[in-house]
Amino acid sequence: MEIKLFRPHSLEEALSQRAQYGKDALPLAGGQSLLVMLRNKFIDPQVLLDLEPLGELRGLQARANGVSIGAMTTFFDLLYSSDVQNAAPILAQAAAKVGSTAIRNLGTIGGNLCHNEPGADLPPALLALNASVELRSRKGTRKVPLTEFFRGYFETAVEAEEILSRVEIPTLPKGARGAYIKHAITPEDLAIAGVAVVLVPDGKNPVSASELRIGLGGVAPVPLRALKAEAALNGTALTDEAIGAVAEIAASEAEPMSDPHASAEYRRKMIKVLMRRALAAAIEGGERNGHGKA
Amino acid sequence: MAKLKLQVNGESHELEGSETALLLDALREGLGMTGTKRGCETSHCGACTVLLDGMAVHSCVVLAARCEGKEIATVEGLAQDGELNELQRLFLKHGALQCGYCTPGMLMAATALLRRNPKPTLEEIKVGLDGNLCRCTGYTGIFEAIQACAVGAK
Amino acid sequence: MKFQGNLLIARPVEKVWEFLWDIEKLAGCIPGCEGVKTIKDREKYELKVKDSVGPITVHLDLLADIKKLEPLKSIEIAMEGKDFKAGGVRQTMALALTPKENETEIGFEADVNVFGRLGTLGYPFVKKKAESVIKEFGEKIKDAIEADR
Repeated sequence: MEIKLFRPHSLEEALSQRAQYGKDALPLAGGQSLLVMLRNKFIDPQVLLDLEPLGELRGLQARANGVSIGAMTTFFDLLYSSDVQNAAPILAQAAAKVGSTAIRNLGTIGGNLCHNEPGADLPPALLALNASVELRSRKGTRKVPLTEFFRGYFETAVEAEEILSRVEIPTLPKGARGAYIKHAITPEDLAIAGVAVVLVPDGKNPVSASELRIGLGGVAPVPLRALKAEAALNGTALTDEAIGAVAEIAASEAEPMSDPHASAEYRRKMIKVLMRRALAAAIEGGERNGHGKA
Repeated sequence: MAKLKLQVNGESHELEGSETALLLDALREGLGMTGTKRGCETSHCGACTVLLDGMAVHSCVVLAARCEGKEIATVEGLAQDGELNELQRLFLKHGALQCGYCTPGMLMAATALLRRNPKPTLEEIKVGLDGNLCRCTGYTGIFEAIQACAVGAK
Repeated sequence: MKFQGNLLIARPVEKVWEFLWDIEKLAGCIPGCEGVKTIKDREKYELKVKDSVGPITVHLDLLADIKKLEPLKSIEIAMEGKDFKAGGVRQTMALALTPKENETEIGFEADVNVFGRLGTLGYPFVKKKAESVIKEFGEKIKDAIEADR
């Protein structure tokens, strides 16, 4: 049976269609993940709901209390946005590492979050940024912190009648630094392991950090915050020994899988390596998005 | 079934296809324009790269329906009046192709890159072509051709 | 992917064996099974399975070959997808029945291989599904056999 393509004229119309069709209507954002599945017959919806016409899902605004990002904002827009580079630099770093130029041109932050494939780059960075998402339905709007958003492989908190509309990132604490480090074999791969770190260094030597947040991707069924590792390091001097010990804790919080790209043991090992690098990079001031000109 | 109007290389075309047809299939089967290649069909290899409003995209993951009202550029549009353009001539000069299968995608990705960034560094070229895989050449000739094109840019 | 486990069924081995060859009843225990067809009794069967995770739905048409059969003792099965265009699943499974007084212990070993597109794109999906399907299958068999007096 042929799949129908609906092109709603407004978010309200799209939400009506979601309410009517539920799971049988899949929202289509950038299509860079969903259309691969469509082409290879891994999805079987009655309807594809095209979100491209919806202006309500676009727009990136820096506000007093943080940055508000429309779900249809592309990776390209994220990585070149001066608002993002200023207010949430590790998001720009993560966006720069997604897939390839062509994928970054069309893929979106909303699609990336809702697809929730293990090894995605934005989730660990957004977790370390304490992001939350706005979910809209005909019944209204609800806000879900990202720590409660990822439920399982390819499963999220988005209900059958909802559409993710915005991603909200609160203002970083003063003096905050961060880094996102991704390990993959080729640039186009999903992360074998991805570590995002946000911390506020105290300027001592050896430095210690308050407000430490660690996001891990590709090493568990869902992206997660390494809460035990954060608690162990918070406020203590970031010596090599301390970092090494905490990297061990982070590795134990993960539940990595063995797959054609890497074994579980390798992934655990990579968490430790990347943790050290991410903390070092964050303390030294974090890297730029690394792309030079547009 | 749906009717579709696509603007390709400056010309308007009308075709019929499924509502959820992908741009790659619309170009190759719908319009008979087989310059754009079908490679991995999983958005990795870039053999299907075309330009959509000047942006490099992998046509195997673009809905044809979304391309209405937009400018599509394919490899068939590079040569003018039977004459290869500068980038194409430099590809030949620098040995940037062997089997030629990745070449249309490479040319389109390079075209998009040079339009946005007329004098890219080697690192910027690598990033601009990070979605295009070549199994034959080892990429060196491809990068040299693009660099030569950048240097000669007016 | 390798899986193994044990199942203790509170029924004698003859009842368990009888159940395992009641294809209709057995198919009812396979999660996502939409139908089984007997091509040749105790030798070849065809199954249709449908499973989903999130937006992904995978339809598998599987051919099951009984490789070895020792009545009341063991079964060895090889299963593979009928159509390999988008990739598929190939697996072998061995079941060993051990009578324990009036109960039966079923020991099983399964080796599941995923290849093609399903292997590269859908690996986490298949792994998660394989684990939960095998677990659910075991529970359903146990419940079904024990429900039968």
